[in-house]
Amino acid sequence: MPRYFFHLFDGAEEIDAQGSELDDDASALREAIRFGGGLLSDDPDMLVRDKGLRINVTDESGGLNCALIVQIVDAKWRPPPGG
Amino acid sequence: MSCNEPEGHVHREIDAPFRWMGDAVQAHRHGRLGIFVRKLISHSRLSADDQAAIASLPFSIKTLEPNDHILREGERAEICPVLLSGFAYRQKISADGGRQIVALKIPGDPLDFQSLYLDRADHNLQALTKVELAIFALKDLENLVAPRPGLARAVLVDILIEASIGREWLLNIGRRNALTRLAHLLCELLYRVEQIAGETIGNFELPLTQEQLADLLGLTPVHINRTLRELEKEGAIRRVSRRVSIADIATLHRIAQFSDIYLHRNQSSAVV
Repeated sequence: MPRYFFHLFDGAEEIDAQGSELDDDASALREAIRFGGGLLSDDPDMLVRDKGLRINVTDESGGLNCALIVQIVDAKWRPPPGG
Repeated sequence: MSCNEPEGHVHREIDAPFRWMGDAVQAHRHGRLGIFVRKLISHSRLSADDQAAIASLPFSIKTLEPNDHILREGERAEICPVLLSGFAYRQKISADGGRQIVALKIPGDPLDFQSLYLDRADHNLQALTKVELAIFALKDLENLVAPRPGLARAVLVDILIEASIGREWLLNIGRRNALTRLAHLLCELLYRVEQIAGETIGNFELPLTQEQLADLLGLTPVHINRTLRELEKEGAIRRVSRRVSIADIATLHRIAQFSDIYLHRNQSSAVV
C-alpha cells in the first residue's frame, strides 16, 4: 500500500516523518479531512490563534499530493435598517 | 526510572518486549490456571475451597494467532475461555464496515462470563496478539458457580469492573482530546497489566498497531500517528520503527489526568 505523509501547519510546522499506509490518493484526502476535523474538534481555538490550519499531504516521491486549508473568514454583516 | 513508586514496591526493568504469563508461569498450586485464580482474588475474596474448585475444573489449552476469532457476534457460546497469555479484544462493526474495539482483555482475564447469563454474543471476541487460552465447558462453569455464592459474586464483580472500564472508555472517546485520550488508554493498560503481574514493568511494549489504536480511540490513524509523536516529544513513550513502548508512566499519568477509581483496584469483597 502506498505511504502518505501528513504535514501540519498550525502556526508552527510539524513534519510527519513516519507517514501512514493508505489505499490510494482518494483515501489520503479523506484521511486528511478527518484528521483536520479531529484537530479542530480538539482545539477549535487553533483557527483563531493561528489564522488557519493547513495540512499538506505528500507521497513517497516527496511530491505534494493534496492540501487542506481551513480558515475563518471575517463575515460580519448587518441587515440594512428598515429591511 | 520512575521515582513515583510506592515504598517497598518491587521494580524490575524488562528490556525485552513484554511477553508475559504463559511463557513464564510461576510455580503455583493451581498450575496453568494460577493466573486466572489470581485475577479473581484480585477483586474478590475466595475461600481456599472455591479456589481449588475452579482450579480443578477440566480444561483444554488452545493457541490462536492474531485476529483469530474466539467468539463471533450472534453465536451461542458453549465454552468459557480464559486468557492465559497474550491480549484479546472485543470488537463491533457498523453496517458500513466501521470497526470499533470496545474492550481489551489482558492475561488472566476471563473472556466471556457474560455467556453464563446471556444467550448470544453481542460482539466479536478476537485475539489481539498470539494467545493461549484455557477453555472450559460453559456447562461446567455454570454448575460450579450455581451452589457457590463466593464464586458467583466473583463472576459478578468481574463483569461489573469490565462495565466500569467501559464507562470510562465512553468518557475517553466522547470528551477527551486526542493527547489525553491516548495517554489515558496507555496508562490504563499498563496499570491493569501491572496489577495482574504483581510488579511494575519498565518499557512495556504496546501490543496494538496504530490502526488498532485508531479503531479503539475513535481517531484516524493519521491523528494517532501525530499524537504518538507528541507523546514521544514529552518523553512519555518511545517509538522504535512500528513499536511503541511506555518510557515514563508518571508523565503519561499527568497528561492523562488519570484517576484510577474506575479500575476498582484494592477492591475488598465483603463475604467469604
